[in-house]
Amino acid sequence: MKAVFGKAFKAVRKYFVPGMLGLVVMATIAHYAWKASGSNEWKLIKDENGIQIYSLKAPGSTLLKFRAKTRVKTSLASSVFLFRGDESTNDDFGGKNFKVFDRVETPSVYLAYFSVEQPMPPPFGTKELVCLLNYAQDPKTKEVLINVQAAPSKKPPTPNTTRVTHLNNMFRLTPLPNGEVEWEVTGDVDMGLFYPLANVAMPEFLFKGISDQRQLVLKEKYQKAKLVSVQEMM
Amino acid sequence: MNDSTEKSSKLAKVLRSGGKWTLGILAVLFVAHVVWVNSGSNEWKLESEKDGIRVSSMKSPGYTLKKYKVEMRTESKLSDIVFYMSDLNTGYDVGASDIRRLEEVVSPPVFYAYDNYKLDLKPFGKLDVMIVNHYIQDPVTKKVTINVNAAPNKKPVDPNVKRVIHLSNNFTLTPLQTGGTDVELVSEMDLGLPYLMQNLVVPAVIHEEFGKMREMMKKDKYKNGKPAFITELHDDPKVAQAQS
Repeated sequence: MKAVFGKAFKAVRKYFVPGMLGLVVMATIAHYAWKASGSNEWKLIKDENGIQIYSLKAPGSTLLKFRAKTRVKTSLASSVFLFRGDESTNDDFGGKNFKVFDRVETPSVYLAYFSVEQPMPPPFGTKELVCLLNYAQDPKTKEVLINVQAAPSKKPPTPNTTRVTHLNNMFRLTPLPNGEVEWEVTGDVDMGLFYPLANVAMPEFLFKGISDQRQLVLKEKYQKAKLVSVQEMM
Repeated sequence: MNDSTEKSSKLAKVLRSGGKWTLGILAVLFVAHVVWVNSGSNEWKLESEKDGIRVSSMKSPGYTLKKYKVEMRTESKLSDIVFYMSDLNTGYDVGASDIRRLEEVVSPPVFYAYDNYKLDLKPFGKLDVMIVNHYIQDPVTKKVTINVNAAPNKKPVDPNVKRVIHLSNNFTLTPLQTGGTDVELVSEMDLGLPYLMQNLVVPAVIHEEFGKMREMMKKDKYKNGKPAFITELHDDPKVAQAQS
């Protein structure tokens, strides 16, 4: 028995250092090869139930960007209300302590900052988002492009949370003559997860999110939304 | 034969020992990185104070990069500073190139603009900066806040130039009765440099840039600039009286 353990220990001593070094070298090469790769073009990766999911790999970035497209029979105002967020609708999205501040809304523009805490699975702790959200409706086409940008220095740090510093999501909402609204959701966010994991998990997360939101927008609280900053297509 | 066996055994020994050292150094670096990331007091600490420019830094747990606060008093008028900060041509005077305004929304009290430009960080190469600038003036105190945040997806990426994805700067410009203006900047950004280097270099760079800005604003071309949405303290006699 002793001899077996002795042999095993000898083998570990012999192969541990070169094995570990080999792994480190391979992981480093794989990381840099992945980072440098990418066509910078959107590629369709899923098309199911009227929802298309696209991904884009940009050279120099480890995280993929994702885009979802779908069409929903609803008003433009309900779609904008869903995606711009509000204290009254936050329970539908699972974040904590959602707050909107410095909000300005006129017939031609909407601009507000918001903060929300997102609990993450261990060992990641709570992530906090502080963002600027703005749009100005195109007066001709009535299209609304909601821009969401991380604005981490807008507020002093919140203890026991880390703030998201890389986020730029866009929601392009285009009213169509048949009474539908085309949703184009572009997501580019780093929640601090291990990037291979985030890249693999995001398409399904986005697909499920859009599927749920297509049902959610039909609820009364969204359907009755009337917004000063959004005009419907005549 | 014995000689070559002895030589290869010596080489194996050297390689194994080198490997152990390399693994040891990597392990120490990894531990140091984790300790650094989790450290921080979330409080401002003074880095330097000279020539009337005060630079403080803050380390927050969970971040590798520090944030900075810069405070400076200038003799320039509020509108001159806002003109300096909002006029696209200013960028060329501070080393930016290919400056473009992609979108501008002026709907009082809201003013925001999406700007794109390139910065040459010699010897590290060019950076592509795509930002949204949001300007706000307090109607009572006339204080101006300029929030600058990265908006990297507003425009397709140029594959040959690295785009900044983490940038969040907040300027607060407080007009003074004496005619000057207090300038405060709270800044965090990732320039894509190794974080140890960025943390060491940035305090001196920010100090230098603020000094240059103060001198540049004395030039005629930045005096009496008229940004559309700004009123001076003396434009509102009630506020001027209340602050005197």
